Order: sequence, then structure tokens, then C-alpha cells
Amino acid sequence: MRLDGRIAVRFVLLLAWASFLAWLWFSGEMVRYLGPRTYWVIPFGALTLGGAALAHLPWLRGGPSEPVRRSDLVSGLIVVAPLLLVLAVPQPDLGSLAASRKASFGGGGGPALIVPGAGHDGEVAFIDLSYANESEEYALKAGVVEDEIVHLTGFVSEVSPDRVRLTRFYVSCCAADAVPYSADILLSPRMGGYSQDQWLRVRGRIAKDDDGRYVVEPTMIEPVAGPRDPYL
Amino acid sequence: MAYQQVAVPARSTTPGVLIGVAGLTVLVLAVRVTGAGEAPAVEIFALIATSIIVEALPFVLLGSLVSALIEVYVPERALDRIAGFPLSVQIPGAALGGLAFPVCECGSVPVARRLIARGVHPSAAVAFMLAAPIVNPVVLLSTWIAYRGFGIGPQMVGGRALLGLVVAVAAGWALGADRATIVLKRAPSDEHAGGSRGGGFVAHLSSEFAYMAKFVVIGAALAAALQTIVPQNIIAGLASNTVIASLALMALAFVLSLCSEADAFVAISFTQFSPAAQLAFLVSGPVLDTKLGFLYGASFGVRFVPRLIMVVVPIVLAGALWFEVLIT
Repeated sequence: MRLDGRIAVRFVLLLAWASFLAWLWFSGEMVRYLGPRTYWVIPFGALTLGGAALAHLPWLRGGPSEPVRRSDLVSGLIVVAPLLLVLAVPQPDLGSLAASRKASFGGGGGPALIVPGAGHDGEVAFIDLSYANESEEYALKAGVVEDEIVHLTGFVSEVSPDRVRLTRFYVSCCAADAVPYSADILLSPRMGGYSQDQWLRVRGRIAKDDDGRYVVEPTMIEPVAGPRDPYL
Repeated sequence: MAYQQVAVPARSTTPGVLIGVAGLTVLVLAVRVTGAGEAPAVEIFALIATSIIVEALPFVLLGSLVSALIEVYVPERALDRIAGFPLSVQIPGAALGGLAFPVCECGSVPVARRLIARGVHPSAAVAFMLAAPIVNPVVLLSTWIAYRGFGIGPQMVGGRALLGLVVAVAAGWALGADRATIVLKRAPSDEHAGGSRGGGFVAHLSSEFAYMAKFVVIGAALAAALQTIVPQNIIAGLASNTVIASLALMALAFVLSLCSEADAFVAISFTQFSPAAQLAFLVSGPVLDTKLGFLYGASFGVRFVPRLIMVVVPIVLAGALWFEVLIT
């Protein structure tokens, strides 16, 4: 009786991924990778992968077994490579570069334009301001009107002399589907010095700029640390 | 009679792999020490690739579990009975079977592989594989939830289910008819461990998982690289023409490699694009994307993917145009 190398390799793969998912689960780091709709995948994955790993235990020491082949090990290395990437880049963020790469198909209007029905009682948020710039009907339903007070927390995705664009991603499923929603914050001459990817908390009132787009005139801008859950 | 499998040749292990492990460890340390991991492009790549894999792997395991159950516990006569039905019944029946299999595309591929290996006609297995990620109840429910706020929830659910079934049946028929299109590749270690049923189940589960998982990792890495490099807004200007818009969103779906259980929530953000173009995105994405390209190629051979594209794209395009006529 000796250790079955090929079963051992697969046991290690499953255990490594189960451990990573368990760490995401208990540390709360899963909010960095997934959206609320798919949080359940983390405990589900940790338990199923862990269970599958444990199911290998009775066969780790088997009868006569074939040696571990190079193809098994290369496959194993490929499967654990993302875990090495996590070790190398432990706290990755989607920042201003991602905002410039990710799809944000609002703003142009056109014959095909559809926007969701609004009508909530909550505070006006990033998503409302984005859609309001595409549809006045939406703006009315969402309560996006001039002089309405808003509170926004996001990162700076663009900086110009008279305004900063404050952005936050909405993640439905995982970071691959992140959609940036932004609001332009007008700056008075005494405001400034903000840099890309800096997190800011803004309090202000809704106004319209010279192009008729909804913007925020701030009464307070405060640099803050990035929140634990970086998404909307 | 079981479908012929082509074994992937294996080589013996060498100390080179240990050198590879050491090299990767040094690379990780170097990235941490030099701060190269803080470069925005590296962070985006790492986050997107890892998130796709984290989300996909449990479903790959689930699919591998079903695959192992089919291999070890489903008796030969049960599959023979299925194989005895005429193809005109098998294919639509298999596509409708997707209604009862609530996993996304990563889980359906290993199941289809195993069904073919156990003798189910490739046309039926492919129809099941393509239909399941589109028509399963979780996907249709999420589509309805995403679109109900737009007032077109029932239309989008109906359109997605119907067009998904049409695509699955047509692709199953077209691709399965030519056995040269589907060369079923076998995982390098498709063996029974210990000779017992339990050992066989564990061996099949783990070999299927390890085989599929590496292609999910490669596909996710490519999808993440594309998302990091290519600005998605370049297709925003293509929204005005339904044909071009549908093709553009199908291309975007290929790049994004989203899970079908949540892609509707992404589609609704494409507000400049018509519902018909969004439907093209929702039907093509679960059957054709970057990570699936690797999974299909690894499972069914290199001819499979281009032929699938030739079948899926025109049907989805025609379906999207019909959908536009029907809802306007």
C-alpha cells in the first residue's frame, strides 16, 4: 500500500480551492469578487469542494497505482495558478482604469433607449443620476430634481479643472460584469487637489450644468478610505 | 454503443515541474516585493479572472458530480433506452431536459461529455448542453426579475426560452449529424480507483473536475485580459442598427464570459441597445463565450467551436430581428 499520487494531486487541488473559498467566506473578502446575488456560491463552493476533497481520503492510500504524470501536474499548476495570483495581488480593486474600460452605455439616448421604471422612496443614488441623464421621465419618477440633497461615496474616475467624476461599480454576479455608474461633482475654485482613484464622500444638491445634464454641487467633500464593500 | 473517445497522451513526471513550482513562488514574491501587483491593469486582470473562476468552479464540480453519477451509477440499459428513440424525439427532448437542470454553462459541458461517452447521440447531448444554461428555471427567473422594471419581463423570458431552445435543437442537429465534428476527448485519467463503485465515482469526479477546471482557468484569464485591454464603449456607437447592434452585443457576450444566471442584470445596463439586441446577448452568451470556447475545444475537438459559431450566430440574429418585429 502506498500513496496514490494522482489522487493526491487532485485532493490537493480541491482542498486548496475549498480553503480559498472558505477564507473568502469567513474573512468577508468575497464582496470584492462577487455581487450580492451570488454570495451564496462561496459557502456552497467551499462546502462542495471541501466535501469532494474529503471524499478522496479513503482512496489516497490505495492499491497499485500509476505514477503521477507530467500532464496531471501541469494541469494542477494551471488550476492553482489563480490562487498564486491572489497571493501576489491580495487586494485588487476596480478603479479608474476599469471605469474607462467597462461598458457604460448610457448617455446617448437614441431610438432604442429603454430605462428601468423608477419610483422608489429612498435617497437619490448613483444609478438614479446616471439614468436620469438619459430619461427625464425616469428623473421625475426617481425624484431626481434640482436642489434635491444627495450623499454619494465613490472613487474619482476623472478629474478636470472644474469637476471630478465620482464613480462606483454595480456588480450583479461577479467583478467581470461590473458596470460603472458615475456622477459629475462640480468644483468651486477653492476646491481641488483630488486625484484619480481617491475615495471621496460628497454631500451636495442636484443641479444642471450648461449642457442640461444632472450634476452635483457639493456642500461638503471629504476624502475617505475605500469601503469594505467597494460596490453599490 | 459508447461513443469513441480519443485519449489525451500523458507523459511521465519530471523534476521540471518542481522547478516550475519554485519559479512561480519566486514570481509571487517578486510581484509582492516590487509592488508590480499594484499596477491598475494587473489588479483589474487579477480581480476579473479570479472572480470568474470563483463563480464557475463550484458549477464545474456540480457538473462533474452529475457526470460521475451517470458514468458509475446509471445502468447501460437506461441510456440504451434513450438512445433507442428516434432523433426527432431525442433532440428536442434533450433540449427540454435543460428545464430541469439548474446550473450554468460550466456545469452542462461535463454532463454532455459523459452522456456522449455513454452512448447518447451527440446531437441530443449537444442540444441538452446548449439549452440547459438558457432555459433552466433559475436563469428564466433572473431574466424576469431583471426586466420586469422595464415592463417587458414576460416578453424577454419568452423570447429567451424560445430562441434558446431553437438554437439548441438546431445546433444539436447540425453538429451532431457529422460525427467528425465531435471528437470526444478523454480526460487523461478516466479510470476507476480501487476497483469499487465508490472509488470509481471519486476517480471520475476528480478527473473530470481537474480536466474541466484548467480550461475554465485559461478561458477566464483570456476573458480578463480582453476586458483589461479592450474598452467596451467602442461598441456603443453601433446601437442604432438592430443587426449591427445584435452582432456587437454577441461579440461583447463572447468577451465578457458571464454566468447565464446573472447576465440579464448586465444586459439591462445596455440602455442604448434595443431589447432585440439585448436578447441576442442573452441567448448567445450562454452558448458562446471565451471560457466556453476552451471548454468546448477541450471536450469536443477544435472543429466544434467554429461550426457552432456558424450555426448559432445566424439563428440568434434572425431570432432577434423577429423579436423586434413582434414586440414593436
